[in-house]
Amino acid sequence: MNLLNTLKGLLIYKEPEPVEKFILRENDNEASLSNQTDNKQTDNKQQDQKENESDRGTKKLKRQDRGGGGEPPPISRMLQNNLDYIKERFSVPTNSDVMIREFNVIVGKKAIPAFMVYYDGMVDRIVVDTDILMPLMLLSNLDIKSGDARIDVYIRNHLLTHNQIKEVEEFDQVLGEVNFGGCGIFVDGMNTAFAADVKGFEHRTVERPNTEMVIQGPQEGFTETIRVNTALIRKKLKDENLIVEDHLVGERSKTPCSILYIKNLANDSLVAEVRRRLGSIKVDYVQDSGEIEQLIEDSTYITSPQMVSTERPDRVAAMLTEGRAAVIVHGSPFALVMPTTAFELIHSPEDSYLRVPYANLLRCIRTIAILVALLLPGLYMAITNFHQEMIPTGLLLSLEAAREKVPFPSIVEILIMEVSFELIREAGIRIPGTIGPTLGIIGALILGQAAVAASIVSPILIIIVAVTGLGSFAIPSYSYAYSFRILRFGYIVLGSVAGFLGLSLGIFLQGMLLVSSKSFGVPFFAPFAPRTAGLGDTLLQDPVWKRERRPDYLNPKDNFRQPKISRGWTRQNNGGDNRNGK
Amino acid sequence: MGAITGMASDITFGGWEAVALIINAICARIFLNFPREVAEDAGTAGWLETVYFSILAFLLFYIIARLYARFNRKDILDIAGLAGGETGRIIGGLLLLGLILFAGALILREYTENMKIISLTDSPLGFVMMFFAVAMVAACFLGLEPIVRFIAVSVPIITAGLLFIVLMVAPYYDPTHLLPALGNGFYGIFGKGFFKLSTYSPLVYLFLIPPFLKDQKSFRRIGYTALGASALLLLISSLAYSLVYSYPTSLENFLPVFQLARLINYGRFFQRLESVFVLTFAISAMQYLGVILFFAVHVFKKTFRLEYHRPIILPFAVIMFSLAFVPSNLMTAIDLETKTYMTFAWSITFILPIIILLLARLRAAPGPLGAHPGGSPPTGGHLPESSPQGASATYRRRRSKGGGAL
Amino acid sequence: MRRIVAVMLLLVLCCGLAGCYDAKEVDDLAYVLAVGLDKGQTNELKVTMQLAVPNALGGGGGGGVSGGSGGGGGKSSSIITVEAPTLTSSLNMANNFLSRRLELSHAEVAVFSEDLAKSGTIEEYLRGMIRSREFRPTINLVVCKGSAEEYLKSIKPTLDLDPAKYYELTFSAYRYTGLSIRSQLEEFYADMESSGVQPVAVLAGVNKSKPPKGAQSGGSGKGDQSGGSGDSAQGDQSGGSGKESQAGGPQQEAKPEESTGQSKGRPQPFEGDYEAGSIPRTGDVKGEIEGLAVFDGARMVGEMDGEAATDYLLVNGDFHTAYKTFADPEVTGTYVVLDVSQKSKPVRRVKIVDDKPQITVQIAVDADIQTIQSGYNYEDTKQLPILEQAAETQLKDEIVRFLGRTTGEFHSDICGFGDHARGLFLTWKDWDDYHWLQRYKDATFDVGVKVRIRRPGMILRSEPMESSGGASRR
Repeated sequence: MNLLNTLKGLLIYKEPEPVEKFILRENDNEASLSNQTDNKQTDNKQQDQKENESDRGTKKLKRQDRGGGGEPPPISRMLQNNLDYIKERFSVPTNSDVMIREFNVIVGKKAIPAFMVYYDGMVDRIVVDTDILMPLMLLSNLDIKSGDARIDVYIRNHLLTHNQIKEVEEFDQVLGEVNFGGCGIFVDGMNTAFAADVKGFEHRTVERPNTEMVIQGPQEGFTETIRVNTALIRKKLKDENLIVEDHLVGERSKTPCSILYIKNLANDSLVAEVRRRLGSIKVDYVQDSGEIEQLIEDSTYITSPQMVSTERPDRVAAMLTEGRAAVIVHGSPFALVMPTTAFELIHSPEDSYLRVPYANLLRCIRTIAILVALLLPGLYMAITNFHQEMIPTGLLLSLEAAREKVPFPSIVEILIMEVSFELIREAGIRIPGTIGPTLGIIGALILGQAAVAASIVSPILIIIVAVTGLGSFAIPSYSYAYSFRILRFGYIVLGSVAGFLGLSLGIFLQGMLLVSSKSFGVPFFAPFAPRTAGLGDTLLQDPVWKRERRPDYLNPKDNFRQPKISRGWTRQNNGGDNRNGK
Repeated sequence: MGAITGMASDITFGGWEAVALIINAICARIFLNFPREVAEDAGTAGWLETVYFSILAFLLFYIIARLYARFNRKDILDIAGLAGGETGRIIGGLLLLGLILFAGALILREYTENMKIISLTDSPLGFVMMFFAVAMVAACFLGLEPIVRFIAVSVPIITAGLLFIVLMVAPYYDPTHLLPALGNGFYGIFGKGFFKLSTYSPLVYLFLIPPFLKDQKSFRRIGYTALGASALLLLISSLAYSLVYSYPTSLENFLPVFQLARLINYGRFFQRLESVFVLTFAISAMQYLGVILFFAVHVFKKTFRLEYHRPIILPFAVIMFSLAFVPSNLMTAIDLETKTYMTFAWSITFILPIIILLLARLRAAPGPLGAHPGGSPPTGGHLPESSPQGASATYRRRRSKGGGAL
Repeated sequence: MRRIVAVMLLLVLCCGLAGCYDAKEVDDLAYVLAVGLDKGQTNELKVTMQLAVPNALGGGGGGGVSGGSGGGGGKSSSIITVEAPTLTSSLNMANNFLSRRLELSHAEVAVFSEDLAKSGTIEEYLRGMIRSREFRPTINLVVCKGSAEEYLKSIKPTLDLDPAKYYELTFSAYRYTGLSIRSQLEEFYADMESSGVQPVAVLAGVNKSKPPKGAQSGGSGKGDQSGGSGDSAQGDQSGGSGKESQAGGPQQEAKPEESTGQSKGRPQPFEGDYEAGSIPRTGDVKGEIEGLAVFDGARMVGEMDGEAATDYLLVNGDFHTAYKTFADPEVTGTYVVLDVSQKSKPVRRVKIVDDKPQITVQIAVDADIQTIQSGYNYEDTKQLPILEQAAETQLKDEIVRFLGRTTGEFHSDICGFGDHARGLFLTWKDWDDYHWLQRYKDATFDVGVKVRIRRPGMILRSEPMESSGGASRR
């Protein structure tokens, strides 16, 4: 019965369910620009309301819905109530690294009981001691010349010498802050609490990016800490229009994520769409940007990635100035930049730092690398099994001689080699420490040599597989390379079933899927299909002074990034200020 | 894949995409029989015949474009509806459907047979055809937009491949093969040549895409550009073919362009490249078949006012697949194409639209005709007049579908 | 999603069920490098095929390379013969005793024996070849004096491991020798069907100047040809010699004077005065090519020597560059060698006067001096015209003689003047009605040759040799 239903489901046409489709258009609501302010909090709320009003079914942001128990009680004026509640929420006796420190605050002549809560190890002890506990407990004895009567105002304005203090009214806000390395301070008689950002957990320092190494160019990479990462970007992009919008994702992990964009550059609808997708995620636990990527990407089943995942702040900054948006996830040294196209994925951050001829040579090499990684084994199968006439006679005869002793059909032969190559690759990553790369080389060399000697594979095939592997390593985007590594097997099968006809079918289907897919509303094959203006930075690269236009398919608010004459010195009567040349 | 739910009305594409679509549809015949056919009609003056019927096609299209000018954003079926009401639309639709299916089935068969002959001699026909059918159905399921985008990328590449072949056989060119200048005489060139007008019958797709296009101006421009480019390619191919093969021999070759490719021979390494031709040939075939199937389904849907086109893709694919098996051999199939199809296709492409347009003009009072019918997207008042670069208009054009989507 | 998986599964299943019909492993095939066709003794045809032996060539596995080269070409190919009614059926028959399926797509050359060519049946086989997907349209067509089998057997190249390379290089050598021509299947076939041009093929033969008696063939034929360059009985005679050679009758020793040079009134034969098989030489490879086989339709009507090949190339504008020997105009008995190259296509015009074709050919060649044996100072700008004039006269004589033979002896328009004559007609029907090929024999020629010597080589001024014996010739 079940089977029958399954069959029925396969054969019978179902009316398509309405799917929210997003196409990146040009800005037509310039007015909304003024609504956006630098204040992230209010901005978020405003945006949310706007989304809701425009009946797009946008969910409220994670931060506001809390899974699990019912509505939390408001912060009570009775300190004991708050203490009990906090203990309950943090499961205090069981949860051993929660620290609750009770103390008295001296205000004037009174000693007011208070307590603070934080996670041991998450906070900076020195800051807690010197900036929070010391002023509250000791320095309050100093003679403070002020007429502030209310305790909360008094404490905030005079006692807490820490620089990041928020006065909050809800437990959840305190909890959120505590969970992320802050400390919450409750004072008797106040129906608000203070949340102090005293993060001091251990984290990696800024290091060289591991996956995107460049010879020339900045050498610092993101770390796992979100604020360090945003700061790294701000360091490059000194523009107050760069907005860092915070969201929390994950019911339990409450991972802070930031959406980054340049307010007067990025297309509003793009930002809204990123916000909508990120805001609507309902998952339990998110650790890495890789998970966020999967949650917000357009299509799961297309092999190529649909956003750029990069470790490099300079790359994110450069892409933000083109009018893109970026998502940074706490705990992940990889930022996601969206939208992207098939061509940008083969760009390396180094490209724009290199002089144009070198960069273009690299681009060509990379294009070849992609073709090799994708097609070479399939091509080999097609040519040797179907189109022998294509091979020059001499080469054909040596191919034949090399295969003479091999007992397998060439499809088996090539699959053996490809699989072992993938094995070596995977093993090389998994093996701890410094043995990994060595194992890769040794494994490949010895295995290849032995396989040839044992007549299991022909030597030509080793060359094919090795070159294919090299090709896939030369692709700058790690996950893009994955996509070709997977599809390669498809081409092997197609090539060995029907030769060039099979390859044509593969290219056609893959091409159709690529051109039909979108990355945040931008066709994946832009600017070639559909054609849009400016092919400057796709397969090849224009010189820096020629890159007047931002990518048209991003529909940024300002299409031009530099005037027609960006090198003022090339004109004789250059007044020095060439920004007016627009 | 999951996100694609392209309904016809959602599709819009730019001028270049449309031009590429028409070029591919017309020039697919270059890979099949075209250069041989003109040699058969006109002998050594095949290129002259090509020039002649291309000019004819231009004239006829000029007339159609003039008549079309008043029907903004309407395809020929909408206009048939205006001209003859429900009946008119159904008759027009069925005629078009007949043409498209006939051409589609024949082309599917011929491509398959060709592929079998040049590359997969031992495989059964159905196996080879399966590859084309899979491509065709997949393309159709993904919708017109991916097809035209793919074509927009692939047509320049395929054209480059064709020109590459034409250039590489240059050492074999012998201008005396074009003599005598008038070949088989006036009747051959201008009499039989008239029916070669059917070479341009894929222009019929142009009359089906106005709802997807921006405005009427681009419709006319697309038509002329596509006609011009196709005429150029047809001319180049027929010229190259008759330059290489002397007259009586030029009648013999099956797959003329493939035969040219076989001659490529530069040095000891650079030869025997014709198998690469299989790649371009097959991709051009697959996308053309995708277009054919899509429009067959589209015309059917539009004629009978169906809501969805997806459920009828497979049935239509099966119909085309079965029709393709009807001719008992390749010779019959080629005869059907070069004799039967060529004699009537031009009338449906050129004469039927003229009749429909004239009728519609007579029937419709001189009122505003620009109002859009139910199926096609609204015009939208705020279309940019002309974008600085035609290509960038693609996106702007989308905006014309109103802000509702955001 | 489920649907997609289902479709994918279905596709994979289809592929699996269908299998790989056409997939053939490289080592499941036997590659034919050359095909030879002779008249069969028990059947219509005796097909000789030269197959590549991959082990010797590719040197598979470890130390195979040295082993391969050590074989010295002896094992780089193997020869099989099959007697069969048609070429295609011979493939089938051969596969009864060969382990591998025969694959023709790498065949470089198709050799027809002179007998076969003269009997006119070559058309039957060509039609099969041109229809086949496997035969390249660019395969070289060769007519072999004597038997094709013998020619293929004689190709055991020592310089190249691979006979295919030998063929490719040898048959493109006309670009720098001018003594043979390009004759490819496709062109030959088209010319055969054309009403404006007749086909030609390269002439090949097995050299018999050195080896002892009995091992050679066609020796008498060569004698006949050299004597009979001028008379039209030659065809029959050489046909006879072919039969003789097959019967294995006793042969004469080849003599150097048995070249076509005698009939041209030359005391010593020039390099072009030989036909394949009669070049006086030694060497490991016995097979050689030089000269033309002239056809009328599909029937071979005669042979011409290497010089005629040069003239053919010059008249057709396909001449690239070659050394050419000229008699010294000032000092008899010595030679001047020029490196001749054709820089521009010849001007060819055809007029029809009184229903007879009048053909004008204007040939312009450039030349560099290679050798002046006499040391005569032709480099001097005042003397240079003497040499140019002499070269022009000699070239013109040769070309006139060559064209005269095509009309008078062979009645075969191998140079394709008919293609130009077509321009005189408006439609194909008019042209067909003129029956050019039948009227070609009445054609008259007006040949103009222009030789321009451009460079003197490394010597700018020849100085006479000094000796005590007597006054040097200034």
